[in-house]
Parts: sequence; structure tokens; C-alpha cells
Amino acid sequence: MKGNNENNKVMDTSLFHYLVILISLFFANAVFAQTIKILPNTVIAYPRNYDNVTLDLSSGSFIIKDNATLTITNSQVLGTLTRKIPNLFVVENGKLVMDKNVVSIKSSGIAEHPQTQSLENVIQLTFGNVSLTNNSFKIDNYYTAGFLITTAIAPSTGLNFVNNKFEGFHGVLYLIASDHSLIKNNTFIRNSYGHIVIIGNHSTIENNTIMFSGNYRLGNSIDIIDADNVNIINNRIFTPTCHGIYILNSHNVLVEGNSVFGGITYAMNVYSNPETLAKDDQYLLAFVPHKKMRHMISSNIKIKNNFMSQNRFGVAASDTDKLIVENNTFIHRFKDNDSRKFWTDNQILLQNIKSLTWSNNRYKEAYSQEMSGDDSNSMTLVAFPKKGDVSF
Amino acid sequence: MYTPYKRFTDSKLDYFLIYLISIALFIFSNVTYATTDIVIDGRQVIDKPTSFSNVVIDMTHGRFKIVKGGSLKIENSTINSNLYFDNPYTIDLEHGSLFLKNNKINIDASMIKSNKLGLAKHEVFKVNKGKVELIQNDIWVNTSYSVGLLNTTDTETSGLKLSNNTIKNFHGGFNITNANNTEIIGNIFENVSSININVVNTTNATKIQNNIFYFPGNLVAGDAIDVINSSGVTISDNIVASSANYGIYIMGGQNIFIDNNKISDGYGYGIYIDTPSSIAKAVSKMNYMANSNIVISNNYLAQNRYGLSGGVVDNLIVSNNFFIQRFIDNTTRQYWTNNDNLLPLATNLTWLNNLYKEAFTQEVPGDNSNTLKFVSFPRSGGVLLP
Repeated sequence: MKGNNENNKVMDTSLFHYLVILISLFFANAVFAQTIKILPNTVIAYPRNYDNVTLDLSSGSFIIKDNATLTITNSQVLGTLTRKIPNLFVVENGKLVMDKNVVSIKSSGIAEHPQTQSLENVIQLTFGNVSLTNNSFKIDNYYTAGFLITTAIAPSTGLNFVNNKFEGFHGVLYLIASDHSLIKNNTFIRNSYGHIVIIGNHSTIENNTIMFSGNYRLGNSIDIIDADNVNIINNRIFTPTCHGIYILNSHNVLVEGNSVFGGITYAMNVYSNPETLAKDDQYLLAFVPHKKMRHMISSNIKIKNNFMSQNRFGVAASDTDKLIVENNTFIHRFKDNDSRKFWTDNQILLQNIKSLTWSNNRYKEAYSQEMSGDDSNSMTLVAFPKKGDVSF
Repeated sequence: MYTPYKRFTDSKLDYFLIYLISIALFIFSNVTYATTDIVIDGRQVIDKPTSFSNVVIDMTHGRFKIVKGGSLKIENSTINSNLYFDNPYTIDLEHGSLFLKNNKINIDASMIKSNKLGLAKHEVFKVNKGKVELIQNDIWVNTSYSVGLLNTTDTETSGLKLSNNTIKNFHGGFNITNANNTEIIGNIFENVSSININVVNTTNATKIQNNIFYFPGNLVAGDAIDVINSSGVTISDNIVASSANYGIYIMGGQNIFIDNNKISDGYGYGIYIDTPSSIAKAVSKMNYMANSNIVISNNYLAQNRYGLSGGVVDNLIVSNNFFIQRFIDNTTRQYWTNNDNLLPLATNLTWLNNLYKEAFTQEVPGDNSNTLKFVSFPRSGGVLLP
């Protein structure tokens, strides 16, 4: 009898532990899956952290004020942009920190407008700072809403975008009057309009992957406008619908180690006069002509060690002082020698350049994509001379 | 005459002089340290732990051979090596370990005849058995189509780590045979002819990730990545630009995961899965596995001559890939995008959500009417554009 009781006791103890574990697991999961519904214009005026939650912003938004910091980590964020809720995060004065989140955005009641700039953006920064690391951001409808924009009237500094994925936005990172930005190791897939637009100084754009920028409508991969001291290094750009890297009225820009594959037009451009935009960059016209440029002539632009393959054209520049183009590889395919000579003629591609250094650039004819196509000129790299005129 | 003031100033002067001399000695010692030549003459056997740092190693007439009990560690140094008939490799790892980090390795192969279409007869690193870590080295050879970089032998080995190196101009990059748990991550291959990464007879956890290949085959012959008679291989996040042959080639592959690679401007197929031929079996004397369980997902194959094709393969999953090509007419496009032609011997084929886009024209004026959209790439029948 005694033995039976002891046995029951042991079983009871085991059952108790089992129940404790089950209850713990239940609550642990409940906390992890906790959904927090955010109301419209929820003000963050003191430090607030959300970790391991689902934030429901389907009819709500945050406004960060009073130098407060809103931190969201390891969470799922579900947001909806509408005409009535044009921003989900408005940083009026403070800081937004997001790390390791999955952010799914819906745009509701916003018609596609591929030719014009978005009035709706996920993040609107006025005063303060934004740090986004290791997040995934995706919107459901193309050409409807942008991701982040700063304001020209309030300078910002030290914005940080590292290891994020941005998909489907109509305008991604518009950093206007923003200095010391770091945009590194991000992936951009099928966004339209401007992707990385910097009007500011001392910024680095490094090791990003940008696929199908413009999304078959409008939008360059990287725009540097009225900027000083910007490094664009080791980025990979695949099939842009507009330009790859576009520099306008800027000083001290290093473009090094980038690869631009495919593309409907030039891989890289350096210009100084906004009026030249009218021809081929309609989407920049929305705000560039209204901006008073600090830098009138682009100067000290270095384009080194880049790989440009099967873009319609390679590098073009005009009205620029001190342009260095060296150690770049150009791959194109032209139907005849005359076309090749014309589209590799630097008399046409590089106009009004004071102090041009052009050295050690190489050209290769792309392989044929036809079954019995001619590859006789495709198996060799030849010098791309300063005067241009590559011919075989 | 005792003057406290003068004594004070003398003392200051003394300290100042000592300070200056110290700085000079420090600079001098560093310069000497960084320019010290270590000359390796003939075969230098390493049979105990040996390390070098911040030195210049002259191996123009010498080589290392690491044997049991030995390990060689070289960091932040310059290695100058000549390869020729009597000096056929730079480092021979027979047994033990080799660790090279942040070195500049210059190979002079001007005495070796170029062999464009054959295999290299000399290599920089000959690995028999042991542990190899090559990290952040800049490795260059002055003569194209002459020497390979690293070969393992038939002896089974494990745990090679080859990461973040820049490799230029070799005739063969990493030729990995019978090695398991190999990591080839973050390397840049420039103008490497023959096969850039060749994985043969491996059965476990090979990772080929985040590498960039410019001109694999060096405009003559060679693929970026070959996987032969191997299983458990992940090939992800690589970029292959202008391959002289295939981008990724599989023959006798099982449990192969090919994800998020970008392959552009190649002379041949972007990805090809080959049936082991009787000739291949006879030449290699290998009992090839059948191709099976291969996943090809999220890849970007743009403006290669062709996209994806293959021979006999079972359980092939192809999903969420982008195919970009340009054809002269609808008939040609339909033929070269028809899996009835491209994958005729695939069994248990899962084909999901693959997209096709006509490449932008490179002509002026050229027709872009069909280039501004993705269309579905169907499982069979080929892509039809209006």
C-alpha cells in the first residue's frame, strides 16, 4: 500500500511538472504572438520598446515627439497606408529604431501613379534620426506609396540603413538635406521611382543589391544630387529601367567597384545642369528644378574599377570639372562597327569636361544571344581609348 | 654655476632627445620588420608549428611542405613565389594545417607555358590532408592559363575555409575533391580560366556563397561553379559575370540547393544539369550518382546565351527565378524557353512562379515594346510575347 502511494506521488509530481511546462509554453507563445493594435496618431513622447510582438497598424500610426525613441525589434508589423493615413511613422522630433522586423504594408485606396511622386510614405522624418537594421519591408501594390522621406527644411544627420530588404515601394530612401547617412548591405527588389536619393554630404552607399529599379516604369538606382563627399562602392545593380548611378551638381564623389548589369539606358551619368533632366529623367523634375543648388558644377568625380555590362550605354557626363574614369570594364553589343564607334565615342558621351583623366578602361563585345550568333569579337577585352571609338 | 632654470631646461631637452630617439627607433624597427626578407630555398619542411607575420617571404626558388605535426601560419605578409618545373607548387600540405590571412601572394609563372584548353600542371596550394584556412588574401599570377590555385587530392579531408580572398588570373581556382564541410564564401574571382570552383566527390555540407566571378573561363574556356558527383551542396548568393562557358554546372548531383544567384552575359547556359556520360565515367573512373533533389530558386539569369537546361534529373524544383533574354523573333524565343526542349528528361519536375522578361535593346533606335514587363515562364510550351 505504501509503495503504491509513493508511486502515485511520483506520478503526481511528474504531472505537475508537465502541466507547469505546458502552461509556461502557452504563455510564452502568447507573449510572442501578442498583437498590439495601434490607434491613429499614437504619440510616442517617451522611450517605448516593442519586442517580439505583432504591431497592428492597419488603421493606426505613430508620431514620435519630444526627442523620444521608439524601438521595435524582432516583431511583425502590419500597416496600411491610405489617403487618410499617409504615414505610419512620423518622426517629428525623436528617433525611430527598428531591428529584425518583418514589415508588411498594404496600400488601400491609392491608385497607381508611376509617373509622379508618392504623397504617402511609410516613414516621414522631420527632426531626428532613423536607424533600420536587418528588417524586411514589403508593400502589396506597386507604384502606390513610398518608403521614407526626409524634409528639405529640417536637416538630418546619421541616418542608418543596414541589412534591410525593400520590395515594391514607389520611392524608397529619399534623404533630402541629410548628412552622414550609411546605406549598406541592403537589397532592393522591384521598387519604382527613386531608390537611394541623397541630397546631402558625407554619405556612404556600400554593398547594396538593387534589382529591377524603376520596375519597368521610372526610377534610377542611385541619385546623388547637390552633394559633397559621397562614396558609392561595391553596389550591384541589375536591370534598371532608368539610370544606374546618376550624379548631379555634386563634389567629391567616389564611384568604385560597382557592377551594373543590363539596363534600358546609361549605367552612370554625371551632369551639372538640371535642365538636362528634361530629356530623360522625368521623375527628378518633380523636385530638382525647385531646389537651389549649392554646387553649380559637378567636380572631382572618380569612376574606378566598375563593371558595366549590357546597359544600353555606359558612362556619359557633361559640364564637369575633374572627372577621373579608370580601370572600368564595359560590355556592350552593337549590330555593326559604326554603331559601336558612335556609342563609345567620348566626343559625344563626355562633353564640356575640364580635366578628364581616362585610363586603362576596357571594352568587350557581349556574347551573342542567338543560336548561331557571331562571337568572333566577344572573346577578347580591348582597350577603350580616351577618344572612344572602339572598333574591331 | 648652478642655475635651477638651466637644469630644468637641460632635463627637458634630455627627455625630448630620448623621445625623438625612441620614435626614430620605433619607426626604424618597424621598417626593418616589414621589409625583412625570409628566403625559402628548396623544399622547406614544416614539421612543427611555424608562423610568420608582417614579413616578405621570398619563395622564388623554394616551397613549403607541411607534414605531420606541422602547421604553418602566415599573416599580413607578402609572399613572392616562382613556379616552374623544379618548383611546382608554393605550399604542399601533406598533413597538418595551413592558415593564411591578409597576405599579398604574387606568383610568377612566366616560365610555365600557357595551356588554354588543358588542365594546369602546377598549382600554388597542393592539399593532401589537413586543415586549410585562406582568409582575405590577395592572390595573383602574372601569366594567364598557366597555373591553378588550389587542388585537393583523392585523400578525404574536411573543413576547408576559403573566404574573402581576391583571386586573379589563375588557370583553375579552388579544385576541391573528396573534401567535406568546405566553405567557399565571399571570394572575388577575376579572369580565372578553366573551372573557378570545382567540387568533386563530396558528400556533406559544401557551401559556395557570396562569391563574385568576373570572366570565369577568362574568355577562353571554363565555368564559374562545377559540382560533380557530389551531394549536400549549397550554391547561393553568388554573382557570375561573363562566363566563357556555363555559370553553374551540375553532373551527378544530389541534394543541391541553388538559390539567389545572379548569372549574366554568359557564353553558354546559365545553369546546366548534365547526365553523366559513359565517356565521363570512363575517364574519371567514378561511379556517378544520378542527378536528384535539386532546387533552383530565386535566381536571376540574364542575357546568357541560354537559361536553364539539363539531362536526366529527378525531383527538380524550379521556382521564383527571373529569366531575361533577347531573341530575334517569337519562334526562336518560344523554342529556347520551352522546357519540353530544355528539360526533356526531368522527372518529378516542380516548376513554379518563374518569370521571363525580354532584355532591353542595346541598339539605337531599338524596340523595347516587349521589354517593360515580366510575363509568366510556363512549365511547357515556351514563352509567347505579343
